[in-house]
Amino acid sequence: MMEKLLTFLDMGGYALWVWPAYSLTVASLVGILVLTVRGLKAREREFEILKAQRRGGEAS
Amino acid sequence: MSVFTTVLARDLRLAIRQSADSLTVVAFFAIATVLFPFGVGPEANILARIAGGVLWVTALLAALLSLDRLFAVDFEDGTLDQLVLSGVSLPMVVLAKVSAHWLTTGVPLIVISPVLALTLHLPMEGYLPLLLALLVGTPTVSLIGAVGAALVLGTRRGGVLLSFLVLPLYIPILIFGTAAVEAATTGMGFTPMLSVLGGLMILALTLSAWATAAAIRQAVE
Amino acid sequence: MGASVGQGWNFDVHRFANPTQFMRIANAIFPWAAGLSALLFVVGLPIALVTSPADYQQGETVRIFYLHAPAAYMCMMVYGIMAVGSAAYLIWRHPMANLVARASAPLGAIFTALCLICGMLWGQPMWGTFWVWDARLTSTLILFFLYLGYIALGDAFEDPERGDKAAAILALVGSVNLPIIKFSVDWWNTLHQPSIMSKKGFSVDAGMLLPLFLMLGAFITFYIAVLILRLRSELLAAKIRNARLSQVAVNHAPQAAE
Repeated sequence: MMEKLLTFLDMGGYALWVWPAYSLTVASLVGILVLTVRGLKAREREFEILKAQRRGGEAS
Repeated sequence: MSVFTTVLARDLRLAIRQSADSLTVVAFFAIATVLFPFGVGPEANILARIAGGVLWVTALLAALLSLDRLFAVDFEDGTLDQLVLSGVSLPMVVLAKVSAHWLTTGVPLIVISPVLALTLHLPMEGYLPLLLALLVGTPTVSLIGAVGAALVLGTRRGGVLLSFLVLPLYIPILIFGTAAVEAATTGMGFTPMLSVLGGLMILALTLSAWATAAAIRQAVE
Repeated sequence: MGASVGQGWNFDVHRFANPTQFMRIANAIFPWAAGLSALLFVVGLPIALVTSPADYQQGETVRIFYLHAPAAYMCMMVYGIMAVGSAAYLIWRHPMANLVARASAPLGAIFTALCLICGMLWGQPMWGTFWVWDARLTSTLILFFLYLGYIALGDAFEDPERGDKAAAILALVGSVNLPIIKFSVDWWNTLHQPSIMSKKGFSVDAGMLLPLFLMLGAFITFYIAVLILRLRSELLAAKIRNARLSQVAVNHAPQAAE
């Protein structure tokens, strides 16, 4: 079992190239996803605040 | 046609009055070229091998230096607004300004290039294709550069941005310009490369004026 | 959020009538795209990494190819979408077309970068060097610069609309130039072709097709899902800008009324 895992991780001697390729791909896709979601959330919050201010302004 | 000649004459007059601008471009071309022997060593055969490419790359960079002033002055003092509002053919104005730019920077670069080629030990048969390729290629450089110059109007750091936008688009000119010189020095015909450069110029001539005019219009709106 | 956003606000109708409908469709697509993308990654990655056979010529490095080739496809497709969106924006003033183009650019740039990086990581063991001035790699590198230029130009203006228009013009200029650049680079490459990799192209055999298409599907659906999120975000940013502007107007209104 352990041996199987090791041969898998070794990638036929090409581990040095295969794993960076996959990890960089996953990292950058996750990265852009996180950045996008965070940007969206920040703008949603900002918009809610503006809306609340506007309501307050109309009430007074 | 009168729009063309009026704008061309005006820009040429301005360029002659401020001839330091053109001279700076030529000086940059010279000094950037002279850096290469220090970078790669003074061996004549290495320099001869890279001379065509070095001259083309530095010529592109030198032309780029002058491009961000192409419309910027007229943009800042409101001349561009007046030109757009006056209803004259904007592509014609663009072509006139590009012609003036080429005459005041492209032509001086071509004139000085043989002297710089001497310092790089360019083989004898390379001079004619170098001059011809520059003659056919540099108008395209000005035409493509005009699009970029119009797009960056009103930005901070326009010059750096401009080089970023325009340099990738110069690669075909660089490839065929250098290839013309290389073909001649290796004893092959260089006319195919010149005709490709000519084709690129015609394409740029028809498309760039419209794109530049569109960019100017959105800039002054 | 969804429907509640924008209630009681008098936004510029012309600018937002269209987007509302567009976003209704986009929001309906979103869960499908996101779910499908997650599923394809969960199924595709193990197949690409584990169960698919190693290539008899390239060995295990063929697994890099399952990222490289879909990324290469994506960077072309996204630039195409950007060019079409920019044209639609300039010709018909379709605001959503512009937002799609602007929101696509960072995704396209990332796919291009991934294509290049995976290409280099594949090239080192296969060609013995990280970088060769291979025609495709070179064209992709130039495409990467075009993406960066587009993003930089779009963000360079104080007035967002100027950035939109300038970037749209640049995208069109770039799309006209791309075939010329491609042709030039191909020609230049055959002129200077070093012998190291002359005919080491490979035939795609049947075992490679499944992981290839799974990863391609995963990338495409990922692009669609993130694009929709970015569109939402961009629209909100526009609404925030408008709200700020109308707030300024409201603050000045009492003086005018008195």
